[in-house]
Amino acid sequence: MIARVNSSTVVGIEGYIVNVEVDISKGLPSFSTVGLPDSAIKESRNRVEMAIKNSGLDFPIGKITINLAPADIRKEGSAFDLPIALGILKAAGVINANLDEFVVLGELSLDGRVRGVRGVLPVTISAHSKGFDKFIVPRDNANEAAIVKGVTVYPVDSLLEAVSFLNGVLDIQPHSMDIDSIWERARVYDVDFQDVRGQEGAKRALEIAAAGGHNVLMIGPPGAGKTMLAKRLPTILPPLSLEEALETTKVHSVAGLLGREQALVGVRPFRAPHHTISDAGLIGGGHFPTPGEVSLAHNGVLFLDEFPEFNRRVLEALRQPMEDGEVTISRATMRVTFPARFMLVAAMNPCPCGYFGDPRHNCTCTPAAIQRYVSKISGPLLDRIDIHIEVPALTFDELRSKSVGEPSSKIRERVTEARRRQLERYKDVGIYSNAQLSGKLLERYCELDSTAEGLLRTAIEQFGFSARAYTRIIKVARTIADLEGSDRIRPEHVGEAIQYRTLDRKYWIR
Amino acid sequence: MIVFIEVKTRREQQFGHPFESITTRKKQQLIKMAKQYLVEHNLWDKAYVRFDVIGVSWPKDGNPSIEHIVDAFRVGG
Repeated sequence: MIARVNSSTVVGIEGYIVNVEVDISKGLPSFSTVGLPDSAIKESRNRVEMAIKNSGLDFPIGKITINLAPADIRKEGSAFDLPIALGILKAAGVINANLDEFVVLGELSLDGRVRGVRGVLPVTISAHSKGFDKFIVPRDNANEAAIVKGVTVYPVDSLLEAVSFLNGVLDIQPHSMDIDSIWERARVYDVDFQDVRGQEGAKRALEIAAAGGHNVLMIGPPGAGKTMLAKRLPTILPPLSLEEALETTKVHSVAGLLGREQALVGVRPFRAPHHTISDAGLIGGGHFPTPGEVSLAHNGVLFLDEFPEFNRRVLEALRQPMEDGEVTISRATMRVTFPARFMLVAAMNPCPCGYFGDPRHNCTCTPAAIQRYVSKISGPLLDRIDIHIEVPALTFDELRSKSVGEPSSKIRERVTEARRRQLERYKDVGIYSNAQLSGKLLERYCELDSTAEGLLRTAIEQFGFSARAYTRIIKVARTIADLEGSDRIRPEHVGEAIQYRTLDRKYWIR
Repeated sequence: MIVFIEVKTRREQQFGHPFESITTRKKQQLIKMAKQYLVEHNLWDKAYVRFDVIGVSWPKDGNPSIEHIVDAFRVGG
């Protein structure tokens, strides 16, 4: 007899329905799986057999063949344990119910308990769009599945529970979530810009960066507060929309980073990988591609501290996702695309010892050493970073000061307004922020009046700015004007934008 | 259902438990033997098949004890 159970697998961040077919026929007793399963699924044979036996059920005698269809999708992971076990029991006549309307996911432990699996959210979303609305999932993943509107989620703790439920012996209360209240609770940040003392200049620069979607490079001595500032950048970005939140949550679900209690990533993610990270870790990769840090930072902030210490190859790999907002990972067997729309915030010391330009410490680095250190960051990469700011060490008075700055919510209001102006202006040209302006669009939307033009000319001649710096300054000036609610770019906007080219002026000695 | 049963008796404990004699090689022999039997009797894929093992420990100065493993092994892992 053949039994069929619906399950699902994830490729990239999209779910695909997989039909688990189980056939038990006469012949020499054996247990084989077909349909391109990876080694984890081959191992699942042992788990399934032991889980059935240890649940007090009979493992049927016969030639057992499992087919995972369609055969051309690469299947990964352990989520097929439970559907395979249910299929076997159905084929053996232990389960009488019709399983067609359910999608089943879950890993089995040897004693028959059901463990959580990865990627439940994308699976639920895509299965729901294909007309499935009943899901049997591990209890650990129930929250994640239940945030999809219009689905009924039956959480199970053990194989026996699933069997009893299907046979109508046990009643399982569908797991429901109040998406609105979850959404409200998930949207609270636990940090605030108010926590940062001093550094008003840096705060202002970050506000501009947030308003225009510009990438930022912070340069300053150790302990100046670069990390602290960067960590608070997500709090002043416009709030996530539910669609954005779902997309970010999908990536985290596939990476297995959602906790049992967490259903939704409701705030913009802040990812700060260590500088020893490999290119596969940053961009994503592996035999079965998993998302890297750039994708985990999707819709949020990727913070790279000690920027020049990163492997050069790793940094260069950043360029493509920064440009496209997604990464495509190609493997011999598959191609997978992960979203990767993030703001890059990089931080570095001004020199290897960290104290170049610090009035209170002596820098012990030779000019050649500083040059070598700074030039680890390639021109093309620097090209994609619009704003450079200096974050100086705090003085004692600033450290002791009680004055509190603006709360994040205030700054966020201004940023959101500036973003709204940009969306409005660019609604016909397919971009959404000033940072994306280039070539023709730059000329069209960033006209300078003659005074501003003159100021920019003087600056370029005086400081020897490159053509690269020139377009960056205009873009940032555009954002500053947007923050002020001005349609025209005025000289003071250009003046401020020029300040955010530190590297061109001071350190970038070529 | 056809059940092939390997019965192994051990009179002395110093060579180990009777079940220890059912090695991978022994299992392969039993499977081969079963295949031969099924083909000869025109039963290939016409009957459910099971392999059992019965171990008999029979000390020289005592009574035998019998252990029976139902569905002891299957083809391929």
